[in-house]
Amino acid sequence: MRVSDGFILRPFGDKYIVVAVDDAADDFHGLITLNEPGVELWKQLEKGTTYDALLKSITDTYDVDEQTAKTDLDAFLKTADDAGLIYE
Amino acid sequence: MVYRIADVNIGIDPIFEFTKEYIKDYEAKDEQAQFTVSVSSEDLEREKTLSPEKLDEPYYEITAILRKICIEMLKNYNGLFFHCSCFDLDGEAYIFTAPSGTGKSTHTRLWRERFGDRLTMINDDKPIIRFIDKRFYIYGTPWNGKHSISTNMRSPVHAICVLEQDKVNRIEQMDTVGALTSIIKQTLIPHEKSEMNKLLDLLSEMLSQIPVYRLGCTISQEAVEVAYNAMK
Repeated sequence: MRVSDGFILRPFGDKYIVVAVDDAADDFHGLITLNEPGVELWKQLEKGTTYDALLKSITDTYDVDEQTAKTDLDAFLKTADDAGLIYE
Repeated sequence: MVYRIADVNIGIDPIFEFTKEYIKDYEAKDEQAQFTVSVSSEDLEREKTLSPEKLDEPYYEITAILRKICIEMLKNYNGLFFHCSCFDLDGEAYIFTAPSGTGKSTHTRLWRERFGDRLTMINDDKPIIRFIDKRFYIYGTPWNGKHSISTNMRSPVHAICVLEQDKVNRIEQMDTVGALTSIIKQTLIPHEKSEMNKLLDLLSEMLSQIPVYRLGCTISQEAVEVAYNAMK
């Protein structure tokens, strides 16, 4: 899975946000705020990655059990998918 | 004809007499245009498809001109269009923004009643904000809303307020991202990546300098009192 065309990540103040440009801006007018783990996931999604690789990156980086990591990852991916930010 | 809007000399050659009349307070006969905008029939057709309601023909031209000016302002003049009602009070600008229909004009009318001659309306709908010499200024424009109350002037921005209708009057300062989320909807969002980054750079600087408040308010002098005490 990877980030759809037209979505860019950029710093804003001390936070990171995702906004739409080009054709993606026709349908997506808002912005999404990412926290630090979200930014890490996003950067992997920009290059293209798999569910398992994302999950492994979370358990490797943070002191969480796999079930918690899965729950967080699923929530993140659902939000991103619902907003059309990523595709399989 | 050259028009001076937000301290930039702009060449505009309107198709409709109505449009010329609409922008005539901003004529600058002897100036050289820094850039020129022209509206084609394709532009007018495009405005028709973008407009939520059917308007008289000249209004599509007026909107098309504003759109072109704003893109140029953003690209080359550190400027952005901002949907709000704003006034100068004691030499500084107070800005009230919200989605259409919330009551921006109604709220600023209450401030006029309260402050009288200390207050000058800058614009009631679509002013332009520019970043000049490390400060933000808001400028009156011909695009001044249905009540046409505006002044061809500029004023340094003091504070921004996002209005919401409420049963009580309350105000709080917003965090940067919350403020951005509200504010970005009230400007013209560009499509090109470089322009989008320019806009976000400008807004980032603006929100680091200028406090943004959320005001829940009734239609009352108490609302003005609550807002003024926090924003002044």
